[in-house]
Amino acid sequence: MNPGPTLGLTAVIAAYTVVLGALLVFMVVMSRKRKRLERRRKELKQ
Amino acid sequence: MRSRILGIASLAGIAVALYFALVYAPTEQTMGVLQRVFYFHLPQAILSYVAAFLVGFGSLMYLITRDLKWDRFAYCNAELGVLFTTTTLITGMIWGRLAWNVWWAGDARTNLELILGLLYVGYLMLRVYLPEREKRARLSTVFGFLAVLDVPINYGAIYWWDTQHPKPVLGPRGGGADPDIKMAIYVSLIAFTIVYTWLLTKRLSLARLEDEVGAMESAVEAS
Repeated sequence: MNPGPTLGLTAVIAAYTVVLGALLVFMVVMSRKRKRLERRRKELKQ
Repeated sequence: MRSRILGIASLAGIAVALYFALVYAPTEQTMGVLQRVFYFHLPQAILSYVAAFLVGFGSLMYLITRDLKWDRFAYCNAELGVLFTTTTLITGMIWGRLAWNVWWAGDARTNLELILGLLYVGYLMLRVYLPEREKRARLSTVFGFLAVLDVPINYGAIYWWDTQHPKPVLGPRGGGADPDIKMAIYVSLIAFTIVYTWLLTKRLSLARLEDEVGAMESAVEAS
């Protein structure tokens, strides 16, 4: 079924946002975890 | 340095993939603009399969060598498996709602993709409940191998059973597509493969740090 250009484009934007947003969230979570671990390593070394 | 190069390549790859998906590829006749969801949906699905094979490979190598670097390799891929399975399912649901008028088709392909995602989650959950490092690595391999088993069944589901999910357009048994559409698919697939490699590199580096801090904490507790 062809939902038409407006609805179709909305779906495309939503899908692309989900993918790119999920990648971004994954990156942010990794970055925060790294900062926390580096801080902990520093504490343990002292 | 390698991670930085991969990061730049990933951002450039996504920009090129967006150009090919939104501008270069012609609008498909049957589905219209909605078909462009496919350029992001397909690479996510393929990489969710790749993650399963990499988890299985890492698990097997761990059982052979008992080297924890393979266990790290397996669980980092399992995390990426959760990410890519989730994006596959959500982009598929967006497509399904407009193309078939249902959020969830409930056919073999979609259900098996969900099971694959749950196997990755099961793999990671099991690890949380096993504090002993070696035991955690050994027992979680079971879920790693189950994820590998899911992939060929998931791939074959659209041939073996009557499913709502369309048949593939690429490959020897594919239905065929416009060369420009195929080009956009390949560009997107290459771009997301680079992104996957980048994320895996970063996650592996983080996993090494996790193990290092874990070992330091154990040493402090023991002393």
